[in-house]
Amino acid sequence: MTGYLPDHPFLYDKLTGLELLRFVGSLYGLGAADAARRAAGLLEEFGLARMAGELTETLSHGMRQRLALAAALVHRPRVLVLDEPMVGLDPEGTLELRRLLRRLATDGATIFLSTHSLAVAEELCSRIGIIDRGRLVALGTLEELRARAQGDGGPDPASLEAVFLDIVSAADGDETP
Amino acid sequence: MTVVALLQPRLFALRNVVRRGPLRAATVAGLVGAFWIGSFVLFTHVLGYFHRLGDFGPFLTQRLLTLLFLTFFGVLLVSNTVTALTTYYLAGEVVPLLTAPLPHRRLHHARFVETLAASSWMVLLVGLPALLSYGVVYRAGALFYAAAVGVLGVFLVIPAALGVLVTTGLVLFFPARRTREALLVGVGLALGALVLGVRLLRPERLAHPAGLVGFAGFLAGFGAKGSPWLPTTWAVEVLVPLLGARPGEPLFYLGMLVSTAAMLFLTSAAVVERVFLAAWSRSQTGRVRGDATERPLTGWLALLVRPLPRVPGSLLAKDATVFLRDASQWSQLLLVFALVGIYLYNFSALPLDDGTPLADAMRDLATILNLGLGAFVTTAVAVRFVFPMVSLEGRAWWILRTAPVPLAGLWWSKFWIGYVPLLAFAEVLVATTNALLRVPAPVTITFLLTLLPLMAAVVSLGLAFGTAYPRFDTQNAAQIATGFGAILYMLACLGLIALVVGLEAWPVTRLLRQARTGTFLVGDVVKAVSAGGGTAAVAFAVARRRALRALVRLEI
Repeated sequence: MTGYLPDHPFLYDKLTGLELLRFVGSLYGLGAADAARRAAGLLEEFGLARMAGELTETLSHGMRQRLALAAALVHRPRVLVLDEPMVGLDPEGTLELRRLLRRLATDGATIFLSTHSLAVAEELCSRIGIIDRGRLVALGTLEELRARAQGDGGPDPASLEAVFLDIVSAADGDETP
Repeated sequence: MTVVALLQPRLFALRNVVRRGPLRAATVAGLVGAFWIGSFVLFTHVLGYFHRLGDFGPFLTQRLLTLLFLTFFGVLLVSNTVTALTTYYLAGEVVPLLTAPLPHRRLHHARFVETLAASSWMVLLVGLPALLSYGVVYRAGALFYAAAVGVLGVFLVIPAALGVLVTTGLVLFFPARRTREALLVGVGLALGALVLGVRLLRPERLAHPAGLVGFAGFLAGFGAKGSPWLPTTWAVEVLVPLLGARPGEPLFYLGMLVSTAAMLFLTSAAVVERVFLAAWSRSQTGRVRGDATERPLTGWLALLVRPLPRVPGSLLAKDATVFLRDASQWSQLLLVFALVGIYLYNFSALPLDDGTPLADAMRDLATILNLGLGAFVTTAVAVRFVFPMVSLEGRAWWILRTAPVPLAGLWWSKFWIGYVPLLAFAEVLVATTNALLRVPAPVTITFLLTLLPLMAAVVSLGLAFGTAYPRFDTQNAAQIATGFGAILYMLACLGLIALVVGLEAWPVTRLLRQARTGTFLVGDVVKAVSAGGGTAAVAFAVARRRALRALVRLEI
C-alpha cells in the first residue's frame, strides 16, 4: 500500500487533527478502533498530541506539514512517496523527519523522496535519480553517479551538487543540435 | 507602488478570464444586461403606477426613494463589514503585500477599493436602474442623471469606510474566523427575517386602493421627515429637487455627502495605518487552546454513520462535520427556510375557493405546475449545496484521490449525501403544497413517484456541472454557487424540469378530470411517471457518466 505527501499538503480546515487521521485511516480500510489507536500514536510521535482536538485551520504551517505526513503514514504504507517533505519544517522538525524516514527504511519501507535539496538527498537516499526537464537522466547510488560524472569527462566530483551539475550539463549538451 | 499598481493583479485576472473564456464572459454580461433591463422595466412600471395615484403619488415615490437608500445602506454596511474581514485580514495575498516596502496607508487604499467593489456591485446592479426609472417617470433633466451616478458613487464610500472600521475593531478583540462566522450567521438571520417580513406585509394589497392607502400611511409614518444625521436623507435631498418634485438645497446635501465620505475614508485610512500590523497579526491566530480532547460532534456523527458501509460512512461524517462547523455554509439555510416559508404561504393565500370554473382551471394549472415549481425550488437549494460539493473538497482532493477508493465509490457517496435530504425536501414540499391545493391523491402519488428519478437527475447534474466547473480558489460555498457553472447547472435543471412537466401534463390533466368524476385509472399514473421519470433517469445516467469522466481529469 502506498502513502503520499504532496508538496503543498492542503487539509480539511474544519476537521481536527485527530478527526483527519481517523478519516484517512478509514479510507485505507482501517477499522474504527485501529484508526483511533493509530491516530493517537502518530499524533504523539509527531509532537501534535496537545493539539489533537484543534481544527487544522488553526495550526501553524510546520504543524500542518507534520500532520499531513502523519496522514500519509496512518495506514502503515510499505511504499511512501514524499514531495519536498522538509519544506516549512523547523530544524527540530527536519531532524525528527530524517530520523523517522531512516527508521521506516530500516523497517523495510520503500521511500521515494523528491527534493531540490541535494544535501537532503545525499544524506538520506540510497539510490538517487536525477530528473532534468521531465526526463530521468541518471539513476544509481551516489558512487555510481560519481563514476558516471567522471566518465562524462568532468573532474572528480566530491559532492552530489557537483555530480548533479555535471550530469545535467552533459544531458543538456547531448540535446544541443 | 501606486494604488492602481496594487489593483493590477485583480484587473489582470479579470482580463485573463475574459480573454480565455470570451463566450463565458459574454454569457455573464448578457445575463447581467437582461437583469438590468428587466429591473429597469419593472421599476419604471411600478413607479409610474404609484406616481399617477392622485395627489399623494409623488409623495409616495419620494418616500420609496428614502426606503430604497435605507435598504441599500443596511445591506452595504453588513456586506462591507464581512468583505473587509476577508480583503484586509484573511486573504492570502495580503502576506506578500505586507512584506513589500509598501506604506500601510496605500495598502489600505487598494484594499478599500477591492472591498467597496466586492460589496457594492449588487447595489449598483439594482440601484442604477432604479434611479434611472425615477428620472424617466419624473421626466428629469440631464443634471439628475449625472447627480444620481455621483450620489451613488459617494454614498457607497460611507458604508465601506464604516465597514472597514467596524471590522478592524472586531479583529482587534475577537478571533477573525469566529467574527466572520458570527457575522455570516447574523446576515443569514437578517436576510431571512427581511424576506419573511416583506412577504408578510402582503405587497399584493397595493394593487387595491384600500391597501394602498394603508401602505401610504405606513410610509408617511416611516421617517416622515428623515433624520438629518443619516446619509440616506442627504442622498434623497440631493436627488428629489433635481427630479423637479419640490424645491430643496441639493448642493448643500451633496456637500454633506462628499465631506462625510471623505472624512470617513480618511479616518479609516488613519486607523488602519496605525493598527494594521497588530490587527492582521491577531487575525492570523485562531483560538488555539491546546485542545487535545475529542469534540462531541465527532462522537455523535460516528454513532449516526455506524450502520453505513465504511467509506460512505466516513465521507458522510466528514462532510457533515465540515458543513456544521462552517457557518458560511449552514447560515444560508436560514434564508432557504425563509424562502420555503414564503413559498408555502403563497400557496395557502391563492384565491381558489370561489367555486367558479376559472378557479377550477387555475387550480388545475397550479397543480400541473406545482411539480415543476417544487422541483425548481429544490434545485435552487441543490445549487447551493450539491453543486459546490466537489469544489469544497478543494485542494485537499489529494487525500481522496490517493486513497484506495474508486472514483465511482466517491461519486456514489457524494450522490447519496445530496440525494437523501434533497429528495425528502422536495417530497415534503410537493406533498404539502398539493395538500394546500387539495389535489387528488392519484396526482400527488404521481408527483411523489416522479420526484424519485427527477431529484436523482438534479443531484447527478449538480455533481456533473460541479466537477466540470470546479472552483478551488475559495472555500466559500455561496461564492462557488454564483459561478458560471452554477448558472449553466440551473439552466440545465430548468430545461429538464420543464421537459418532465411537459411530458406529464397530459396524463395529469386526465387524472384531474377522472378525479372530478370519481373514476381513476392506474394506467394513467404509470404513463405519467414513466414518461417524466424515464426522461429524468436518462439525464441521471448521462450526467453521472460525464461527472466520472470529469473526476478522472480533475487536477488541483
